[in-house]
Amino acid sequence: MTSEIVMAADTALATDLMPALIFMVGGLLVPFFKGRAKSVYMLLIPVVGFLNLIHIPLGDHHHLFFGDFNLVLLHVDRLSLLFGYIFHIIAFITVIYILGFKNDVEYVAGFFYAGAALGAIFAGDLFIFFVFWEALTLGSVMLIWARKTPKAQAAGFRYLLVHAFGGLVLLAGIVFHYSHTGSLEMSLMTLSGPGSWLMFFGIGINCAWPILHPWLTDAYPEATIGGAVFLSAFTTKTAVYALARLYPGTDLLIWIGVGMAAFPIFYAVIENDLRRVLAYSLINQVGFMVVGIGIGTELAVNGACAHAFNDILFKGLLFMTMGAVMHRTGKINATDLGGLYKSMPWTCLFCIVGAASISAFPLFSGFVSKSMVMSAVAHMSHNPGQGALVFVWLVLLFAAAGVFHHAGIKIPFFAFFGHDAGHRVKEAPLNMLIAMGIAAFLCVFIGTFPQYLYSVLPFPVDYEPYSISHVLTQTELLFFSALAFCLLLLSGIYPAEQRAVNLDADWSYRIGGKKLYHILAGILNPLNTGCEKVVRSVASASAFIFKDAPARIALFVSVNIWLVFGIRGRYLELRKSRLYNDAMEGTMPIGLGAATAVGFFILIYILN
Amino acid sequence: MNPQDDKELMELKHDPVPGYKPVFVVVFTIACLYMAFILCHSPL
Amino acid sequence: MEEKKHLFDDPKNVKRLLAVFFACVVGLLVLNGVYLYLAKHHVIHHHAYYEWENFWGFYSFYGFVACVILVLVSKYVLRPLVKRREDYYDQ
Repeated sequence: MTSEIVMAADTALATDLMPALIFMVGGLLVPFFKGRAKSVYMLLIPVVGFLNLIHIPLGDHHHLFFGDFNLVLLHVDRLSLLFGYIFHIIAFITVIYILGFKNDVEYVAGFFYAGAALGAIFAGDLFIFFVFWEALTLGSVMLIWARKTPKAQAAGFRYLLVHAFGGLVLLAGIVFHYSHTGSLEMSLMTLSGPGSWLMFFGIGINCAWPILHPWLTDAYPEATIGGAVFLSAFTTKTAVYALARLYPGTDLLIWIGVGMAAFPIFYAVIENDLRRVLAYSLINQVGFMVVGIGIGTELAVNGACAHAFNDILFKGLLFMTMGAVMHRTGKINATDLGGLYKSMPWTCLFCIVGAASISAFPLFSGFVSKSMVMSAVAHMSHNPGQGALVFVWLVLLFAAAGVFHHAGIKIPFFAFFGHDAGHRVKEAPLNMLIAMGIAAFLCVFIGTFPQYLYSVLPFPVDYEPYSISHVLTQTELLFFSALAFCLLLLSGIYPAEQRAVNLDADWSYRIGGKKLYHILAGILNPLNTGCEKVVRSVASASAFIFKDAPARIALFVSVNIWLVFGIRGRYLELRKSRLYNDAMEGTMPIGLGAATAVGFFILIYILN
Repeated sequence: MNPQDDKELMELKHDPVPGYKPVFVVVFTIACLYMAFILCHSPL
Repeated sequence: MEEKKHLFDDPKNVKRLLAVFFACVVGLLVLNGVYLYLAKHHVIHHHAYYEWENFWGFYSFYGFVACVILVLVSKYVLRPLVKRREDYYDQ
């Protein structure tokens, strides 16, 4: 009897909800709540979602039969579960962070966006994955538009166009793939045939690969304060998840990842908008993940996933601290900030924790995950034929030093120290401080006790980050990066912060598109007028000829007749000109016209 | 809010502190030479 | 209103911080030397993937040179290439 009840309870628990729906539907109901109830309700959504998530058994759930298709709405395994955990955690933290904003659009969009990301990572097949992938774009663009500035609207529109294109590429890839293999399974792909290539690039757009990346650095800094925190967590990480699921061990990813890790740090050094600096460093961090997935060994994929997990926390934390600064001062440019440690000490502390984490200081979260990727690259580079990976390792080490330089030092230094801009503001609101505090705590906790993170990674972990050698070498690397910053700054070589636009690949469609239009207009418009001229002159010439020719024929006939009748001299000239004018103007006396026509016919008849 | 709060700088220069530039140049030169030495003397 | 004096308003504190930092930097190099010495005499296990990791201060100098190059390239190569007026895209 009791066992039956227990079994019933088990099945009740086993009929789990889709994590995506909890967020999406739950989010739509947010505007119906008021005051304190609203805050409580919003906080409950990720909590309920998390409780639901940990009760879902591994495997496929929620089949949807659709014609010949068997769509799987919910597929849970260790990889998707890891991303599920962190998505719930960051959604919870971000919700606390945005409680004070009282902006329903942001709330609904945020939950919709988080739900879409959860839907995509738990999708059991490519079709469901695609549906949520598109939803992801919708949710994120709303978060950008919610800022309501003209700049945000324009950036949001560009963002939408890029992602709509990316979605189409992905869809085309899925269709090709399906028609080729007859399967919609989300399983390992090899880059062969148009289907897998198109899907690869479709995912690559969301993953912000070099040249495909500018939507990120263009739009994220224009989003709302809370929106940027949401955005930093979901789109790129969902793409990382998709690559880890579909394309692990694809060599091309190693080189793409190296590019991602290396180039943004140069931009980050000269960028003035501190949230844009973070956007560039986001690409840099995703680069490490992409390299890990490209290597494809268990250690590497573990490292990539662990780094995604940590990056969501520390990048979210950094975006939160910069958001708090923006919220209080209304400024985000390095040129307008500085000295805020005096008035926002807690935010400053949390920012330093985030900076230490992203820079991979020992005892902070980046340290325990970035090194996994580095070690995996080093391991692999000793395999025969993989010598080029030594170069990859060196570039990654360069990027690891560089990230400390721009994200680890530049962000806290220019916002909270450096030149005092004179802002005397209040500390960030309590809810923001709590949110940043939780994220900062998790960064330190994971960095200090990595075994908890390691236990939820996709593969069993046999890796110890805290060896004497690793701690010592990493500390050396970071301290000497700091030394470089210090000496460059003190000797006046460090580039001045300047308000400016730094051209990036988005030039191609923001200006390049316009230029192309002008070039094409410059070539095609004269061609058009030229053609028109030719056609017009041909037409008028032929019209003239068709009028002129009969007149001349008439003249020829008449003159011969007149000559026969003995008309000569001035009188003949006068008659000729009168006849020609009459013929050209069509005012010939009917008799004469008829006579000419008859004469003409006779002439033709004779000549025949 | 006084109007000075809204004054936004176009450029934030970092003024050199006297005496550091030579230090930097020396350290950088030595570091470069040493890096070159290390990389040349380690077989890949 | 007399504003409260803050930690780094006093140049002495900045100097102290710098001094501590420079001491740390030198200390790290010394530690690295000690570490390599102990590893050479098999007191502690030293695992290196690459030959250059066995050189004294490889990571230190690499980090330093990397960051200086990063800044110099950004300042003297990238910025002249890509910097435009703030309203460049608004025209």
